[in-house]
Amino acid sequence: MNSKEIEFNKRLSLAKLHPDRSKERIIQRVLLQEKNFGLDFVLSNLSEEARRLCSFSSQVGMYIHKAESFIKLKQFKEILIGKAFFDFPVAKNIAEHFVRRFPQKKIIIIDENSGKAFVSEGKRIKVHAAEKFSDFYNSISDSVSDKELEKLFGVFYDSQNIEARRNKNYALRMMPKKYWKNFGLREAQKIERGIPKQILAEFC
Amino acid sequence: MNITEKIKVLSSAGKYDICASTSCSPKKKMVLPNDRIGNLASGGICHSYLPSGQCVSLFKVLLSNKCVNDCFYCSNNCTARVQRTEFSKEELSKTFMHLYQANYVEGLFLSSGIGRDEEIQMERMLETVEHLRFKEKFHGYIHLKILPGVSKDKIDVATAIASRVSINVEAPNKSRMNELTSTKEYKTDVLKRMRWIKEKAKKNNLPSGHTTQLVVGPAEETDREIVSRTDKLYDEMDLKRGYFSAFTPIQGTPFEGKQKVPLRRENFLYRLDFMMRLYGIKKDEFVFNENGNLNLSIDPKFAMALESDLFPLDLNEASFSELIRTPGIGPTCAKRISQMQETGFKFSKESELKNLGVSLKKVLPFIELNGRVQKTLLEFS
Ligand code: SF4
Repeated sequence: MNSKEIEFNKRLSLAKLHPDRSKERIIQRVLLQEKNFGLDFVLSNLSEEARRLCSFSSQVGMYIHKAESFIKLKQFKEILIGKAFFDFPVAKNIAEHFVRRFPQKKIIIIDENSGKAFVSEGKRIKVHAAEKFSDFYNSISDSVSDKELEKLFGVFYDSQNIEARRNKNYALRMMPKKYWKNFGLREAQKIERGIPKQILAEFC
Repeated sequence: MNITEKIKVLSSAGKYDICASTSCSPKKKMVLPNDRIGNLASGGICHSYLPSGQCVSLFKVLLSNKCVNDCFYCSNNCTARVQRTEFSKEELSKTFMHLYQANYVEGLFLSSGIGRDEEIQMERMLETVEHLRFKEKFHGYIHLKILPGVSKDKIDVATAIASRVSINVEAPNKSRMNELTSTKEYKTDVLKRMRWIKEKAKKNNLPSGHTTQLVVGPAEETDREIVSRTDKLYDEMDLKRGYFSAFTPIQGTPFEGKQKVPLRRENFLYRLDFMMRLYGIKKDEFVFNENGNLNLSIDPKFAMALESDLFPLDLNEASFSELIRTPGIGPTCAKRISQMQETGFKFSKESELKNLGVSLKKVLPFIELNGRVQKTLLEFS
């Protein structure tokens, strides 16, 4: 496969994870356009359908990127476990990311939205019901070491702030509120505290 | 001092160093051992954002804030009355590994004051990185600062074990540097070391290359000087990226009474930097005022376009290098337009450009579409 074909396949596979109902129709049309006018035509987003397909795939791609970044993992012996409410069905992708990163650990990613847990077994990911893993997650969350780590990161986070560079518009743009609720970020609350309520209301 | 207190002091002391990217182009066919912890991501990952909107991706700390140098803008300079402390390699490694595994950070950015002797301090920094790499088996991202004045041997080791290294030039030339410190020598302590970094980075196949940082404003240097220096570094030193840090006065330093530099200046310098690095635009094309500075009330690319006789541009005939100079067209759109030109496609509608991702508001006054050119720049207001 050449680089353009790889790019096109990637777009298709990410777009398939998008919840928009029209996605199947869009995908079919773009496939037809690719057949009739070639890869350059669809990769350049010249048609409305190609542009929408690209938009679906980049939304999902960005979401995976953000989720990999913001989800926090709890550690218990050789297990790393994380939980989030995923808007898109990407929990498996997230689990795969951490399997690549920590090949020696058992990775568990709980998707509160679908009620499923994605659990690594070697390099493979198996799907289970979320309940029993959620209980396990909650029990670790209350541990002293987990709270201490959170506190430690809080100290580090606070130390990085340069007051003269405070820029609430940029901060809000970089991390829209929809991510705050999904990932329960400590720092999100900090930003929120620093911004007058009416501005927040306008933005979110 | 316990770990939390040390983090407070040593992270705060290192916060002015910039390390935006964590991405790298991994060494070809690099086989990673299975008993490792961590890996390098190909795209930059931000784990949280500060109230400034800046991304927090790395655990950014100093190994020590003890320093015999007198850089007038720096909170660690030898005259500053601050609490001094240092990490042991075990303390720092353990703390970092906990944060990394919990996915709070993407890697480590390790810098340091130079203590009493840069060679000894650099050795301690290398021992810490070696501890992480070989004892903790950490294979993720480490950005290691090279201290000014260190030996070639230390640079050799640093480029073999870090993901990225950097040495800060701080100022665009020797005379501006002399305004900032009396203890660092521009040509030998910094530029000569950077040349060694270039040599050793190539030899050791440093995955994320080497970078540098300039403080913008405190030495009254001009934007033209900054851009010229950066351009020269890209050209001669294989520099991966130059970072700019708008000067902010810090209490307790000799420069505490100086004026803060507007962030917009830093932002505009980054735009020029992008144009040089990614668009291949030469520094002589940029527009500076008679003092050698950018006009902060007008976007630099727009200012260039107004001075140029390239426009209006026929999109169906324009080359990539012409497209890239057009306001509203970035590298991705320029590539898409060029691709379509190759297929024989003729652009005739605004909607086609919009689908491509072009900013119509910015581009229309500068292009010819169906023989028509928008006559005014009203859309810019
Ligand atoms: S060498 Fe200069 S910039 Fe670096 S820590 Fe010492 S005083 Fe600060």
